[in-house]
Parts: sequence; structure tokens; C-alpha cells
Amino acid sequence: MPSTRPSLASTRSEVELVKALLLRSLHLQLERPPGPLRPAIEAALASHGRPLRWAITAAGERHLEIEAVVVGEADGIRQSRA
Amino acid sequence: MTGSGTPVPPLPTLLVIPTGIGCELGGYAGDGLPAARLLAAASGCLITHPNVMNGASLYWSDRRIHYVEGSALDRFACGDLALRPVRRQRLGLLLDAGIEPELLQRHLQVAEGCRASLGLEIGPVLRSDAPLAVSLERGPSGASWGRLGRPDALLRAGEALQRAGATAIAVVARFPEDPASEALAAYRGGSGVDALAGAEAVISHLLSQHLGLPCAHAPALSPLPLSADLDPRAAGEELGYTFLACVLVGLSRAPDLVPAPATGAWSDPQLLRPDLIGAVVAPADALGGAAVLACSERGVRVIAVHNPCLLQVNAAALGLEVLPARSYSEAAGLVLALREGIAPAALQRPLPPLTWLQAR
Repeated sequence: MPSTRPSLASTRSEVELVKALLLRSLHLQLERPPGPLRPAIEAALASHGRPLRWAITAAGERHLEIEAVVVGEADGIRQSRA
Repeated sequence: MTGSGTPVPPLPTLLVIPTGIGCELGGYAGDGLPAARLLAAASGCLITHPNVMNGASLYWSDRRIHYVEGSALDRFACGDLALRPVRRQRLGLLLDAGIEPELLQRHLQVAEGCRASLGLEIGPVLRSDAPLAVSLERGPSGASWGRLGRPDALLRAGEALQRAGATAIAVVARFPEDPASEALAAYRGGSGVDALAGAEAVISHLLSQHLGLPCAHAPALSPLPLSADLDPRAAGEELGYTFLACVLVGLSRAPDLVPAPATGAWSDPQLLRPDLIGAVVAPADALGGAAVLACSERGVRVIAVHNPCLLQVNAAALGLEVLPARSYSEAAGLVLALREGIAPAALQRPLPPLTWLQAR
């Protein structure tokens, strides 16, 4: 859910900065980790947002290709009448 | 020698056929259902996801099959959730504000029909406060993906339904249409990828993770012009005006999702716990998803079935140990062997040699 920051009031309308949910598509190439693959992939995705859906779409000797959708946040502006 | 008429306990088995990668079996309109039914009979307890079970106007209900949305199935495989079988769910119906009035009416009539003819408990119903703005994408691999422009509107509506007493949620979102596209023609002809599937999975994953409820999705689309060359695997989606009936039936007895307790283990003996999983069945070239990897990490037997798709992420590429199966019939035989305690290797010839542990 959007979380609200302190609003920036104007005379005729309320303008507030909000955190908007944003879904982001990713294509990552990862160096193949030495241990279990899943925790390493989820850690790599976490730096881009909360992993929503992912899969290894190609696996070579040294690299893995991952396609994913992650949930992030973006600043937005909501305007309403005062 | 032994043998008796005592029923053999079920072997909880996961069936995963990933969505939107063009699996030859299971990549279309519920055409994984016969395999699911067979594996349910072999295992006595099958946990699988909507992509396997949903055939739009076609569906099948079996007490041995547990209908679990994909991200919840992943969390179950990872040991983060248990499943609680229920007699029925109270289904909230979440309708995208972007659905036109006539199409909306069609979906409401499906809900009414499922109440009247199947006895499902449906309601409350709610429209999102803004159009969800679904968009479709293809990844570099060719797999289908997608997003929605207003995830906040989806989650607000889901929260309102949950507060109003819904215990599971069916979502209907308006999907973009391109009836003349080559991709759609290929899919209807039986040689393409389900272009809608990736976005559908994103919607149900987002809502289920946020609410902790069983959720599933049906796309709202205008009917397509009649095709004389329709592949039988895609036919389930062209029998009616909506894809909603199978979702309502599947969710009507979907198990509750029970998070792992902060301390200790689950105490409810009725729960289907993740440590009880005995096998996972997945396409041999699509083993790189969370559920299969988690099961493999935990020592659960992975049965890799020949089921060609876009990907080539197989056991050799990932370094996984698997039981290969040439078909879902063979996979069912392996599940039955595991359930009966028969070593799969004993069913092969030549019999692999005994392995010796080297003395120090």
C-alpha cells in the first residue's frame, strides 16, 4: 500500500508525496554461486526490490540468466482539493 | 515377503508446470489436468497450481488435489507455509474497473451460475477503484511476463474483500487484446506461448503474498472469432465468454495458507506440512524455479518429465540429481513406487551396481 509522507500544502489543493508500488521487470545475468542456487538468486534480486516471480531461463557453466518481476517503490505526487 | 490390504498412506507430491513457457503439455488451457488427475491417483495427495487446473469453462474437482496459487506453492516448497484443507472457502470476487459493462455482466453471470448450479459461496463482490492497467511482456527467453500499472488498486480492493469476510479471492482483470497477433494465432494453433499467463501469475502472486489468502486470476477478454484450426489444447478457452468458472471452482476448496510459526513447529495435526512432501514433478527443461530448487535443497525427490518448452534449464545444467521420466504416465509410476517404498532403481535394467563405501 502507498505510504504517505508529510504533505506539502498549497492554498487551493493538497499536494502530497506518496510512495507508489511499482512492478519492475528484470533480466539479470549472475555468476554461478558455489552453493545452493535459490538463496543466491533471491539475494541478487532483493537488491532490485522484493522478488515477486522469477525463474532461471538459461544456465551455463559460469553464468545463470534470470528473468523476474520485482516489487519496488517510486515517488509519486497525489493532488487533491483542499 | 510382505503384502497386505492395508491402505498405503498418501505421498504428498508437488506438480509444477510453469506458466508462459510453452510447455507441450500443460502450456495451454488446463491441458495439464489429465496428468494432475493421474498423479493425484498415484500419490493420494497432489499439490498443484492454477495453471495446471484451469481450463476456462472446463475444470475438475478432486479431493486429492490441492489448488495452490504459484507463489504460495513456492513458499510451501520452501518450508515457509503449511496448507490446511477446508470444506469450502468464501470467495471474494475482485473485478477490474477497466472491464466494460457488458463483459462485467458476463462475469457476474458466471458467479451467479456457480452459486446456483454448483453451490459455491461467492461474495462479496468489489470493483477496483481504478483500472488495473495490465500490460503484457515477453522476456529475452520468449517466456511471457507482464505487469500492472496500478498494483495499489488491486491491493486496496483485496484488503477490502478480506475485511468483508472473503477467505479466498478470485480476480478478473481486463487484459489487452490483439486478435490479429501472430502470437495468439500460434497459441490457438498449438505451437505458441500463452501470452497472458505471465501477467496473470504476477497478479495472483502479488495479491496472495500481500493478503496471505488463496487467490487466482481470470483474464477478461472479448470472445475471439471462430477458428476451424483450433488446437484441442486451447479449446477450453473458447467455449464460453469468460475464463472465470474454473477459478471459482478451484478456489472453492483451495487450502488455507498457514505461515510457519515464529517459534517451533506447526502443532495442528490436520495441516499438510512442507516436511511431508515426498516428490516434486516438473518439466525436465524447466527446473530453475523456486519450488523445484527448494525441494532439491531439502532432499525431496525431483521427477523430471520430458515435456518440451522454450527453456533448456535441465538437471545437468543445474547440477541437480533427478529421476527422469519420459512421460507423465512414467512419472506417475515413479510416484507410486516412492509411495509404496519401492526403490526406483529396482525398476530399471540393468540394475545399477551396489556402491561400496571406501574403508579408511
